[in-house]
Amino acid sequence: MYKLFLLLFTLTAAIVARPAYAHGFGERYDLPVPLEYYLVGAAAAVAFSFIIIAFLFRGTPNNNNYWRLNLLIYRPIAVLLQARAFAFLVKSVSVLLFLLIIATGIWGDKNPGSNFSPTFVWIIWWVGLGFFISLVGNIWVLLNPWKAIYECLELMYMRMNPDGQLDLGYKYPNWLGIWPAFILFLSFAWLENSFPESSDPKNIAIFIMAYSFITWVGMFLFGTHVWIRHGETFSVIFAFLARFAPTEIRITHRDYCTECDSICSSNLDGCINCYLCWNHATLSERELNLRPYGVGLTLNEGISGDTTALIILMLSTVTFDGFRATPVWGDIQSALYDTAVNISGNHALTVINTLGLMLFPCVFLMVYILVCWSMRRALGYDWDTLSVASVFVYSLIPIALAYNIAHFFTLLVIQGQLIIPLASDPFGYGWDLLGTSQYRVNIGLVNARFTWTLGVTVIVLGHIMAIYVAHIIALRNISGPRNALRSQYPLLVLMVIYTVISLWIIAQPILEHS
Amino acid sequence: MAIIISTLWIMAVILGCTNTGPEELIFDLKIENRKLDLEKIEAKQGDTLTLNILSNEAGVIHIHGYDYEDMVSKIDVTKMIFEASITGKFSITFHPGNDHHHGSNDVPIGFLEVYPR
Repeated sequence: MYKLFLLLFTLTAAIVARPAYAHGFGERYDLPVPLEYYLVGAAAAVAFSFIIIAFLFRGTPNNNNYWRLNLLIYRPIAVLLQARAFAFLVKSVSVLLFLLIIATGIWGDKNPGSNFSPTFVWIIWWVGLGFFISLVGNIWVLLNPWKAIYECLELMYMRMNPDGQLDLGYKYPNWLGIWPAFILFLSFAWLENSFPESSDPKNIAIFIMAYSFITWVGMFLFGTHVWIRHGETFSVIFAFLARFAPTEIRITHRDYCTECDSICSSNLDGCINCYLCWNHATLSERELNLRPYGVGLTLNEGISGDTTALIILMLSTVTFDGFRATPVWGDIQSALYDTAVNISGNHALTVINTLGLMLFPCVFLMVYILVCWSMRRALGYDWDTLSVASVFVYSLIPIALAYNIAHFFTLLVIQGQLIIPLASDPFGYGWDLLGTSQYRVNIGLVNARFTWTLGVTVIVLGHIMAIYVAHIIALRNISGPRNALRSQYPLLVLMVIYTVISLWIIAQPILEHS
Repeated sequence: MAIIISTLWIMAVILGCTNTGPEELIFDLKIENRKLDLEKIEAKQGDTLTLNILSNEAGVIHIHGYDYEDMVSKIDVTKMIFEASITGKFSITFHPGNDHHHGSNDVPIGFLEVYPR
């Protein structure tokens, strides 16, 4: 029955493309993925689903039983990465860029194409850094300018008041969890997807200053690391992405892990990605490991409802971002436009896009909960639905990551080249600080065929990874490989649907809209 | 793992196959009331395109991406000849009047789609 459903869905999902609207600012020249690529990709996703689930990983994998290589055994790497001067240099560059973005936003050219801040924030930082963190490692822990600035102020304060600290030390209420990060990420997603002036340099400066105020107030009330863990939304989001990455930091002695909370993965062999503990551990207790992609998503620690909600929000807004540029969304906008004009006048499109942004996570969550309820049935009701939802939610991240790469690769590689001339003339005043202001974007840097093949291949690989992660999680949490396998069928259907939707979106054309 | 890698390789081979050479394509286009009679011009990478353009209103036609532009009028046919060297979907806009300066007056009138060979 599942196979028939999958086949029918795959065949009917190939919808003829019609024009729609682009994400963000600037021009994109992407051709839609042709039908044959889309069908081959969808068929491969379905085929691999059965191959992997039927033939691989029948044992019960151990939490720590994965290959890793400690890069700190190589002295040059150890000296560089643990040198205070290196960390200071990285943080200084980050803070300077942060201040430059605000300055160019306020005083620079209003044309987004001539101003440093829109290209840097929306392409280099949000897309490029997201790719880097997912595919290499969580460099945000060093780059975070809000943390760097606050820690600098803290140091200065403590030099004047050795016994004092620059926060009120209020106890963070446990019930609040990471809901502050959830609300702030939803606000950010609204700016990205629904607010029509998100590429205006001055607006970017205002958003950053507002977010800075919220972040520093949070740090002042509860302490830097408490707010980073619960309220600094980009630290929380990038930590999710970093679980996919092939690097981790590890503290090998459990005594140093006692300060860590549930955001870290902690077991008999120490704790993983606990950045606060890293700062307090001795050099001999630290490891910077290479590891296989995706193992961070399988680590067996408790995941709460707020974490599940934020991951679902992240996945659904990434998908909505692409869905907004499809003919189906264009038709929905057209159908609702007159009503929206009657309600909100000139803000009709903003209202429609906001509605879409709010509805998408709700639909996503409902479908996911329904799938988890089905899995619970398959397990004989030994689990409650929300527990199933929490345990398996990380397994969806590879599909979202893969779609993100497929959809935004050309934006980063083509439009991202704008940063080269903008680095020489960040304010748009006609400067040439680095001699690159005359650089012209090479739009032929990547061929359409390469982009299509990359997009489809990456999405299929993301699907394979998602099934692998779900399978490992099932084997670790459910007794008996037969029960574990049976529990995954509903999730497998969801993953195939999600993957086919991702392929369908990149098969739609993107129109520029003025 | 061997099955996965083999299948991905086969996918790449199937999707990468092609065996046609460049062509010379000629398009006779009319801009009437700021609309192009052929809204989508399709070509393959390496083709040489000749666009013969007549307009019922004087202005500037601009092919984005390639950044080619020329004046068009209702008297003389404007000839644009270029190689479609870059793949992608490029908007074609019309800017009424004689000024080459672009802005909110640019009217999108069609697309050039260049596919890989």
